[in-house]
Amino acid sequence: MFAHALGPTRERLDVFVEEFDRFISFASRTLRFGLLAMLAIVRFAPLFVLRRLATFETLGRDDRVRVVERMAASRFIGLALVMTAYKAIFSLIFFEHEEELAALGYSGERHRHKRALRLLGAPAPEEGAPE
Amino acid sequence: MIDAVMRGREVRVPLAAQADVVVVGSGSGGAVVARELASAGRSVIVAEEGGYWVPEHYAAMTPSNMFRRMAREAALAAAIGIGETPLIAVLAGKCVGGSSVLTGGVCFRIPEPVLDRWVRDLGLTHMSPAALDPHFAAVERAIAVETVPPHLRSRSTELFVEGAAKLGIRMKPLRRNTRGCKGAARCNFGCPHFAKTSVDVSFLPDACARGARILSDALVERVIVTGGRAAGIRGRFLDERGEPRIPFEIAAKAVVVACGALHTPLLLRRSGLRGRPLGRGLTLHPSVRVYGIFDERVDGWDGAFQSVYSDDLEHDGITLISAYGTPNLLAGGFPGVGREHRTFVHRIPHTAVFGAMIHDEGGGSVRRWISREPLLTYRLATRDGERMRRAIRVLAEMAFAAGAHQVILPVFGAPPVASTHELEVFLGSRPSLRRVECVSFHPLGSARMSTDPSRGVVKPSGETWAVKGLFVADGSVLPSSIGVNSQLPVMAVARQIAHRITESVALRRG
Repeated sequence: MFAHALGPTRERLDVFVEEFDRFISFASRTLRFGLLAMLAIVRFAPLFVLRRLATFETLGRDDRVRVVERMAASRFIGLALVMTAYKAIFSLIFFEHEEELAALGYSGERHRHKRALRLLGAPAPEEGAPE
Repeated sequence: MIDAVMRGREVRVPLAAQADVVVVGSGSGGAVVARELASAGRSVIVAEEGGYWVPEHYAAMTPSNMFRRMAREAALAAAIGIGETPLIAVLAGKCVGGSSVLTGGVCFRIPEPVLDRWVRDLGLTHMSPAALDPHFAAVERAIAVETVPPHLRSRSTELFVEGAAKLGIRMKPLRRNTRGCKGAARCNFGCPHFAKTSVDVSFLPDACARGARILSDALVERVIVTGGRAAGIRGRFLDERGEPRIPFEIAAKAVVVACGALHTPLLLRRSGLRGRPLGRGLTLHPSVRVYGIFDERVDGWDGAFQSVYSDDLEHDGITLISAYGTPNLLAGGFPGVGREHRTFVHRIPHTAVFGAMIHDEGGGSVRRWISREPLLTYRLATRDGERMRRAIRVLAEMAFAAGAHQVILPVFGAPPVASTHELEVFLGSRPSLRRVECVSFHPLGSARMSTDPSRGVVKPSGETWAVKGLFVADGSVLPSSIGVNSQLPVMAVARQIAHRITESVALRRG
């Protein structure tokens, strides 16, 4: 899901798995069971998506991507929902890492109004002052 | 920080206490009731299932951290769509302060046509605009409702306004409960600057200053009913893992249930209340969003989380409203997986978000299930389904009118569209509404107020028809969808109910 030129480091992925585990541990048992059931669907998806007797984790990366892509676009809404749900949770956790946010230029603080004031030649408000 | 909070997870011995009134739930409804009753000189204990997180720590928590600690089901709760209905994610708070900590802070009064209908068709004469006006006014003063100034608009919002203007749609500034907003666009995760006057930094500290006490991590399992009258509550404190452990019991002359529309029906059922209306009629205000991708850098997080809206399409049951989340929250809505998804995520700085909310008929229900959380189901009315399609179309047209070169629709599996022609072709294929990505922030109406016990759960006073001295004061009592953000309406109605409770026989002194 997060493939890029070099791919995330093993450490990043370990932290991600820990964070994901921590995240869902706050949900009810019913919901956690539902997520596990969805994971089981992903695991055995190659059977009905690629028609291949294999589990997801035994596939090579390109085939895994193909399975996930086909599930997301599936006519069977249940399959598409599984991918949508997991993508939303994974994205929430993965893309809040400081490296990812820095790459997007996100700081969490407001700069635009201050920039506009500078352009107008007015002094920018002090940090922490009401705007 | 509120000193009067007893953290249930730190309690090691069973607790027995008594008060004039025990309030179950510390969100917009419960907090207002607690404050009003404490002001009237009553002893009040508030029992909250969620934990207490010190507002001073909000800034240090990441969005996922906030969600898992402060939202029900770590923000993964959802209503299962029945028929041609999408799965609708439902965001609700589970913490001291409830959903008010997680809202954008948008404040609307209940529109007059809605109130007029309640008075005329339902006989709820105390719900007229004039009767509710003093309650709205008092609540607005208490939480510092102010109009969002134009300089707090993000570029995403400006594009939303520009696109609307080109289609002849007028935008208006929103009102929010903020004091000195710095425009960090993080309202959904607790304001990092304490600028949003959610009830954990407004009504609850005020209630505690007047003698109220709060128990956090306190799961109320049932209301004690003796001889047809509420006599208190019984429950267990939750440990660090959320498991019920140490029992507690609070005797009270009156019990106010304010657990929100998702949990109030469950607690009432566990307490022996029955009847067809209980748990039915849930409305959600299903909301959709469209992403517009622009050539220019937008940095939509640089500005207020929400700042404008339009009611030009209210006759069609659609409210257009601006909103922008943190990048990781937006990332899940982009199409593709792997490299393709990542490429889209890297366009977030060039992405504007346009949103809309449907004024729905209400086809939802709340049922007990195999865990403490409810089973939510929702059937979208045919009329509301058409409204949803229209909302998506209008939002996409606005994005193109504002200059977007690509628009991502809230339909999973749908490719991005690059022109109004492609939009027409795609929408013309009538994609199933079950594929729409949809979210709700305003679950309401699952224990409705009515003058007729066969049609509602509570009387116009807020007291349940079935049990004397048992009141409901949250969004579940609203008798229909209101079509606007529900925080302020819940507060105003709760205040009105609080005044009825003060006057009730159970609490009359002497």
